[in-house]
Amino acid sequence: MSRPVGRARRAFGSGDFRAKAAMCLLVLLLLFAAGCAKDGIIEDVSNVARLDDVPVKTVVVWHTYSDEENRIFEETVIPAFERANPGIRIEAVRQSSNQEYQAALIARASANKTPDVVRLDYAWIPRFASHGLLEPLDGYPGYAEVAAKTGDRLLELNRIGNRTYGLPLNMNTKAAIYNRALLEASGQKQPPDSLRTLVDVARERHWILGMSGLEMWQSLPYFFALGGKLSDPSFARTDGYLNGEDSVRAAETMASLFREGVLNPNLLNGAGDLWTEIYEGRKVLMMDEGPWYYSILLNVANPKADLTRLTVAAPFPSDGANGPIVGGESLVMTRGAAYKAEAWTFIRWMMRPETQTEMFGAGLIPTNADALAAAKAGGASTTYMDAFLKGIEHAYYRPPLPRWNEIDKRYEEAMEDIFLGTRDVRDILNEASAAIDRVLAEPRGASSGAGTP
Amino acid sequence: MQTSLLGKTAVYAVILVGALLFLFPFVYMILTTFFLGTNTLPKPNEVFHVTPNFANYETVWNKNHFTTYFMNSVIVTSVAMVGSLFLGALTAYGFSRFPFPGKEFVFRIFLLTMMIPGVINIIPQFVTIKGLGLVNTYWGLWLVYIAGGVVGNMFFLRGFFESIPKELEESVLIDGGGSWRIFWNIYLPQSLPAMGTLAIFIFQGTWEEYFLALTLIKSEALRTLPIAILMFNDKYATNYGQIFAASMIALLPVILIYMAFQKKFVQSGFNEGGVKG
Repeated sequence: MSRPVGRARRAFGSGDFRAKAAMCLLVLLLLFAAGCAKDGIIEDVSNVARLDDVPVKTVVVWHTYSDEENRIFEETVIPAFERANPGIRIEAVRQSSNQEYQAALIARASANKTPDVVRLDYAWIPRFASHGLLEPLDGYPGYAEVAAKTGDRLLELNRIGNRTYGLPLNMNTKAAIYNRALLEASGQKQPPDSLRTLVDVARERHWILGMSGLEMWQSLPYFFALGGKLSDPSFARTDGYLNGEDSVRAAETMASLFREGVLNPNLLNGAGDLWTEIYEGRKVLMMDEGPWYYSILLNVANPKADLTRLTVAAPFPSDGANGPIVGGESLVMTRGAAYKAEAWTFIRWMMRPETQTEMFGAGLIPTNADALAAAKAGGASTTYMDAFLKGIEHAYYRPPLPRWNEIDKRYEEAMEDIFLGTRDVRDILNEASAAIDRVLAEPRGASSGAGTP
Repeated sequence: MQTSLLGKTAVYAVILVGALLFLFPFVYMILTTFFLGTNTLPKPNEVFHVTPNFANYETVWNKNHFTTYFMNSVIVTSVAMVGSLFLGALTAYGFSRFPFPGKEFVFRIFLLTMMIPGVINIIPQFVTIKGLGLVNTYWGLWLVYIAGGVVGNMFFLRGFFESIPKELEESVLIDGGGSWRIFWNIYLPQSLPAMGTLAIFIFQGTWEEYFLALTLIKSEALRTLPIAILMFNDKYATNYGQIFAASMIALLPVILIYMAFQKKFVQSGFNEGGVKG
């Protein structure tokens, strides 16, 4: 029989291995010891009830505010609310906005372990509501009063079936941002109202219009402005609209402008650095972007350039019926909220004109009519915000469909094919329209899991 | 066989170009961390003229509870790594050395579970963790990280364990040792190269894990590092200087762990000469 010798035998008492095992043990011991480090029996003194305490209920709020928005929210808005409502404490949890966040929220909601209030993108609400994860808000006391100040078009974005699941908290849209020097050199005293005029200027001087991508949010303003249509007014079908004569012509014009180099020639390979080129270069005449372009770049520690001097913002030029898409966030209450009445109190507080005016300080456009009027009257008309405030009046409101992302994807794929120029534009739009209509024909499932408060 | 000078030069040139290609994005990333207010990536001509400074590192270290999340990640990852290695090794030992009914069938079922994407598991995992009352605790994270890694780790180690000569076990049996002694004193030390490699994989996988931590952990105080890094990524804009600086800090422990265990990669043939005849 063979016998073990040499290294294998030495391995029995290998000092190296023992040292590593000892290290692992030490880590574990330290972790357990950390748990025993408390001085007293009470672990969290703030959570222990006292005789003279008013019972405090904690409402958990998840949001995706940016740095500056979060500063106002946590340092001004929440303290003011807690002072006015001593029985309610707000636990605000900041999240990053991405697809994983959406999936995490759905997973938590499926197990009824959600935060009480969530600030959700308008586009996410139909999906959450159709899964029965949100609480309808229209039955809560004072809803009618809040709704009257918000306006029906915005509320419509949060309405699935005949129930309203969210209150629009802030809104935005894209505006056209021009290179001031190029605009002046072109002899235009004001930014043009028509995209066709702008195209002529850019074509003549070999300048670029900075469309940033092919998703609806990025390309629909150009498609609409050139006369394209998406659907019938109720978004029940796209046949005859998306593949209609006007739309085919608009899509062909976009593709030919792209091939000419007028519409961002880098569109299919990353779009380029439009944020810098719009003020630094001598080629990009206009790009489209939301108000955050200014609110972010003007608030960085050492701004690279004086954007207000180098650029001009104006509503997106359009020859069609619609402008860019309306975006924004709503406040929703989750179906599994622990303190629904208190959560509603907080939602109402956020909808007040005073609160929305505070948040407007960080560039969030109010949805409350009084706050919006105050913003316009308060000098916003002399700043870059004016372009966005005016642009919203003609913006396009997406229908609240749970499967909107699929429709967006079909549209984007069609645009990709059109810009690549591999097939006939009419055929591509016919296929896209048929695919979208199939999605629309399937049961919406909008109120399948939804109930009453 | 002698290689000609020309051949050698060509080989080294290819290696050098390859290394530069791989290094360039990393160097670009490091240089970008020296820029302030970078909502767009700096251009190559700017990148190579930047003055090194640590302003972004200082900012991220003090922002978004970065230090707390860093220490949270150290705790979560250390325990998950030790637990995963230990349980994975035990399972691999069982599968490589003990005959039991349906062994291959169970093994194949185990492999099948590896084909299911993690995102599909998230809801059942969350419901289970909630049922155990472990939502918003590290115990919940450890349970999934350790249990979820058993199959992959076992698959990785089983082959190494099967290559260890049976005769080494017999020496323990002769000295009066049992199965545990064989595992602890033969299998673990003999498979250190594999364990070292696996330790790096587990550490890296757990250190960078975002989705489960995001779903399971509710309190800001308990969050882990990947969540902190993504907090620098605003909805509408990314501050590349800050996010790259945060990523560089997060990368340091991975590099350290790699340096600690990388020797084990090249130490092959632990049991060569261990058996005579």
